[in-house]
Amino acid sequence: MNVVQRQQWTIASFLAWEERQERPWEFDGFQPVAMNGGTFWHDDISANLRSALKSRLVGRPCRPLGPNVKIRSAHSVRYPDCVVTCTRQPGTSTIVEAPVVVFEVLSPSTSRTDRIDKAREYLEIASIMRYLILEQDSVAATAYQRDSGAWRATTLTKDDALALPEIGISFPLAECYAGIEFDSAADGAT
Amino acid sequence: MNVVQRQRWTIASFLAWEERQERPWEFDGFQPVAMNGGSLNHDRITFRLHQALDARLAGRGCQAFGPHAKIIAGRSVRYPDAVVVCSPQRGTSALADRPVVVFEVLSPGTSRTDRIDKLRDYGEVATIRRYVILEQDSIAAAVFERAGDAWKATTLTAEEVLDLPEIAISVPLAEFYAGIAFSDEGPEPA
Repeated sequence: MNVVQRQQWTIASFLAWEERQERPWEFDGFQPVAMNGGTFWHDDISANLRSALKSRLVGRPCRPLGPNVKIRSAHSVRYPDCVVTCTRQPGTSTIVEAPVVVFEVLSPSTSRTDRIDKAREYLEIASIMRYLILEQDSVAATAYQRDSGAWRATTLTKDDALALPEIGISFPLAECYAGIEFDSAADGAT
Repeated sequence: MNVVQRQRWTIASFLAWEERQERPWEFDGFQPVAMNGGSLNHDRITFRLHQALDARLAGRGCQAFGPHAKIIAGRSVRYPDAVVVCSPQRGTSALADRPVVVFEVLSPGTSRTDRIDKLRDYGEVATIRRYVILEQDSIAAAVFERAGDAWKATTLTAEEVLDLPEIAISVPLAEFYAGIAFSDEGPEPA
């Protein structure tokens, strides 16, 4: 039989390859995955989230980064929409060491990756204490909190607070959705 | 001022109203929500799920119902895609009593409801030990297991087995997706 043996990707070969690409790619443990653009809502929610975090973390050792920095698990490399680290690192770094809280804003095309694959990968990163998945189409989130080596899940809806005890802050979930009007924008009607 | 006072829905008034409707409706705690049809894949996965449960539960004390059986969950009334009960039921009842394991197959239109609202609703039903959310577009699932007053969350992918210790059965996840083809492509290794 004439079987072509395909070389397998490793994190090292992926990182070396990705450094030469013009746009960011993730590595899912098997192959590079192209990062796609997002919607206005995705962009708004990510920006609101970062400013909510940033304003509350001023003067503290922790700070929010993302979406242009990487984190790595044992098998994968990801670009979270937002990641908080409390460890000092050189400004030239591209990979966040010791991420503590990680956020993803759901998109229809990456929903499974965020909910299934990344939930598993982020649990493998021992420094991550909490993983927040924010809905894009309504004010709601799923909070995964590390508890004895597993995720403990709770849900947040529009009147709930997003509590982040690991980094000593809490703010209303609705703050991440400020300026977004889901009902009127959904069908473009005025 | 001339404000029309709208009467609030209750579970009792909803159930009485729904009985007179031609098609099934859910009640989300605030208002009736129309049940929509699903895709062929949703239909196929739900069918395979029931086949897998029926085959393994035959002759045991537990049995699977759905998707036309209701459960009362907290302030809501829901039609899960599948629900397993292990106590005697009245065959003429429209409500499944004392549900133990509940399944939903995700749809783009109801994804938030299944993942956020129903996770909360099903958490309020003490007899529900496990809530399994099956992906529709790939072989994967999120499994929520009752752990005290919270959910312990894990994820399953294509090669894994869904363990349901409450009803003493296990099913390879892929069995629910038999006959469905999904595509997956990426670049070649560097």
